[in-house]
Parts: sequence; C-alpha cells; structure tokens
Amino acid sequence: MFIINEISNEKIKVSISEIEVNELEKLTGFQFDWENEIDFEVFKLYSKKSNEIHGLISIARIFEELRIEIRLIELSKVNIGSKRKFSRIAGILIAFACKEAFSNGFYGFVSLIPKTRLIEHYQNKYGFIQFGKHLAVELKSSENLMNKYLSND
Amino acid sequence: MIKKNQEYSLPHHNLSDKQKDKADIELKKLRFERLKNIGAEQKIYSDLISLKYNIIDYLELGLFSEKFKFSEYLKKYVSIVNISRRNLASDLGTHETKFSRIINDKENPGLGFLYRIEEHSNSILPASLLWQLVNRKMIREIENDKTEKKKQSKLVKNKLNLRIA
Repeated sequence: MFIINEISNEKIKVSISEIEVNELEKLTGFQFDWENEIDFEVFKLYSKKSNEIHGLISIARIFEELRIEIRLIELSKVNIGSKRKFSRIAGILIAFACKEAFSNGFYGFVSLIPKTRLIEHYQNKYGFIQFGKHLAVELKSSENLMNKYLSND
Repeated sequence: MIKKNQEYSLPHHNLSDKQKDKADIELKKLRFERLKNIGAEQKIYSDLISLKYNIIDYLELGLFSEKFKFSEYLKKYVSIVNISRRNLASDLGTHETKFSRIINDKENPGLGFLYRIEEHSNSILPASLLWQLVNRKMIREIENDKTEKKKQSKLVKNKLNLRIA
C-alpha cells in the first residue's frame, strides 16, 4: 500500500503496525491525546523507508456486535490542509479497519461517530451510511475501500 | 469548509456518556437486525475476502512458510466454500487424482487451474495473486534442489569463465 507525495506525485510504500506505548509517549506532530487511547488498539501508518509516522488510528473490537468502532483517526500535522505533504492516509487507515473487521468475522463492519460537519464527507468519500448517530461501512463497501487503499497498484 | 478531495482527522465525537450510550444502543439494535439477514453467501464472501488479504499480507512479508503454501490455502478455500474436495474438483473440471495431488502438495498447480479458482471464487481470488503464492514455494524448491541443479549442470557446455577483479 502507498501514500502519494502531493508535490512530486511519487508513491511511497507504507506499513501499518500497532504502536508501542513508549512511542505514544514520545509522539510529535500529533495533537490528539493519544495516551488516553492506551486501553484500546492504536495503530500507526508509517513509511517503510524513513519510519516517519503519517497517521494514527484507535479502534475498539466489539465482538458481541461483530463490529469494529473507529474511535479516533489523526493525520500528522504536515498532512493536513490544502498544503498537505501526503494523501491517502485516512483512506488507508479506514481500509485497514475494514480488513480487521473481515479478519475478525465481522463481515467488514466498521462504525464511527463523526462530528456533524464531517458526516457528508464520510458518506461521499468513503461510502459510510447512517446507523442512528453512528456511520458504518460493511461487506462490499468495505471491500471497495480495501481494494482502493490497500493495494499496491 | 469541508472539501471533497481533502482528508480529515476523525476527532473525538464529544458526545456525553449518556448520548454515547444512547447512540450505541441504537446501533446495537440496527446491527442485530442486519445480522439476522446475513446469509450463507455473505459468510462465504466475507471469509474469502479475509482469505485474500491473508494471502496479500503473507506475500508482503517476502518470506516462505510451509503454513502458507498454495495447498494450505486451497484447503481453506474448500472449508470456506463448504464443498467436498470431489465436488470442487468437478466444479473446476479437474480430475480427482490431480486435484488430490495439488491439495496434498504433491504437485504445483498450473496457471489454468488458478484461472479456474479465480472464476469459481467469483474473482475474489485473482489468478495473479495465487500465482505469486505458487511462485514463492517454487523459488524455495529451486534454491534447495541441489540434486537437480547438479544433474542439469552436467549438461552445460562452455560455461562462462568470468574472472571478476
């Protein structure tokens, strides 16, 4: 999987792995209170070559309901706004959650609660649909995200 | 202003505990309704998607493992699709004996076989992906087959005699 350098259009290979507690404590370039997420699973998206962390995601696996809830996603400071350094970070992190949801036997079901101003964004860009206050993707919508963001092409 | 081509962080929703509980209860109800309608087809589809990405993750590692050979994935496929080996062999237009050799890792599948798996799986498992799996094992076989290497080397004439400074 890859992110794209917005200036050079170069594809940069990235990986996702669970972040270590000591890495969370030393984080720079991120503003959310990630140490509060210690009881959940926090994954980092990073460049394979430079180890630079571009984004973080915190998920909770709710086995009783066969779903994954995305609690937080944060792009690093340099990847926010119109002058962002890289793109596809949020998409990859959401697609990763979808992949975990298939692995867990959840039929790819991933939910989140966005702030009101972001509801349409998640619906239009990622195919989320309304489940009360939650938005969710599953099955084919999740597969589509995985095919778009987790492939090497 | 939210722009379509931009990406955004997902900050904390800032609902109160009571509001979050209410939202979760509502989702739970809707989720269970949804799960009631999940059929065998969706279960197979989901398990095959999981299998596909398991293959992709393994290939990304760049290692070879006995646990992740094509034959092992074929066994998982049989289990997911919930079909007997005999019936799958028939579906794939493959003789039972040949199928048995492939699933028991006595023979590597050819490209034709992989195309048929792709077709059978409704294109969830592309032949190109399965081929990479087969190749991973073949590379290991090639590296370890000293007997064949020695046998073949005896048939070579005028081997390049390169002196590298």
